[in-house]
Amino acid sequence: MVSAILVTHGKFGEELIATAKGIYGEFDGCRAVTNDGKAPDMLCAEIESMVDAGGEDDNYIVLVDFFGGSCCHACLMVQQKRPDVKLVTGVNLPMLIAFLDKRDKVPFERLAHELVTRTTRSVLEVDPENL
Amino acid sequence: MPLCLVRIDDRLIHGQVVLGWARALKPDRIVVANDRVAGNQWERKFYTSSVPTHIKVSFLDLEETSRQLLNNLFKTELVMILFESVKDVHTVIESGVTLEKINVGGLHYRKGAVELLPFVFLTDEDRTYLRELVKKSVTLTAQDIPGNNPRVINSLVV
Repeated sequence: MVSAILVTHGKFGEELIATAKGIYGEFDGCRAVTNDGKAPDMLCAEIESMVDAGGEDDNYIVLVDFFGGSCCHACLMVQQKRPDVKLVTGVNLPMLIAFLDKRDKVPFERLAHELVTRTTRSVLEVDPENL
Repeated sequence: MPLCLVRIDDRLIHGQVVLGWARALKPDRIVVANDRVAGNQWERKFYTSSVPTHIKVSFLDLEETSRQLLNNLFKTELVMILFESVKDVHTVIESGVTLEKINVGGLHYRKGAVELLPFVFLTDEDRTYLRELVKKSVTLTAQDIPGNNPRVINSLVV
């Protein structure tokens, strides 16, 4: 199974999952981790234990809020030990929905790229005259 | 060296530093004073890529940090210095550097650490070093981001 771990500041990841469930319906294989009150080592250990809990057929993609923050740094540290884990920054609702939609449809190796492409296309200035 | 901020933060360069402090204080350079990062090319690359390109970033080990501070080598630039731990700041001060004010910006929970503020957890070792800094008349101010109120914690660590 392909699972996602959302690593974010505050309750953003948790709320994003709850919100996505309100739109997409129930799903599993997504967990949220916050950096609130956690030292870097502690945050790394938490993410690592989630990844390590998976079996041989499990793949993990980490969706982090933004590049350059402490969440991202922790994910990169985990990725140093577990290069099989994919990492994408800029998680938002379209990205999470795209993940749910695509995780079983594209090869895991291509999933990160697919999420970036789909999410990028969802950010646009809307011109009401030209929908 | 005109120092605009000397900060202890176990996350070193991260969102609060770049989006909060660097935006408010507009330093020319951020110095990461840390033995591990100074010797780790990958971490240096990551931290550098988190900082806007108009701000220079240096990675110095503690010995070089002390040397540059003692010799006033950054005097033409406004500099922000980041330390990972109380112990590291203490090492630099022990080498003869004078620091008047230190921002305690983030020391999160570790084994044996007790909460002082939501973003400041101290171990017995931290307290020992902080007491020595207080003895040297350093003002310790707990403040996570510029928009929140600073709180002098000298009396809370002795």
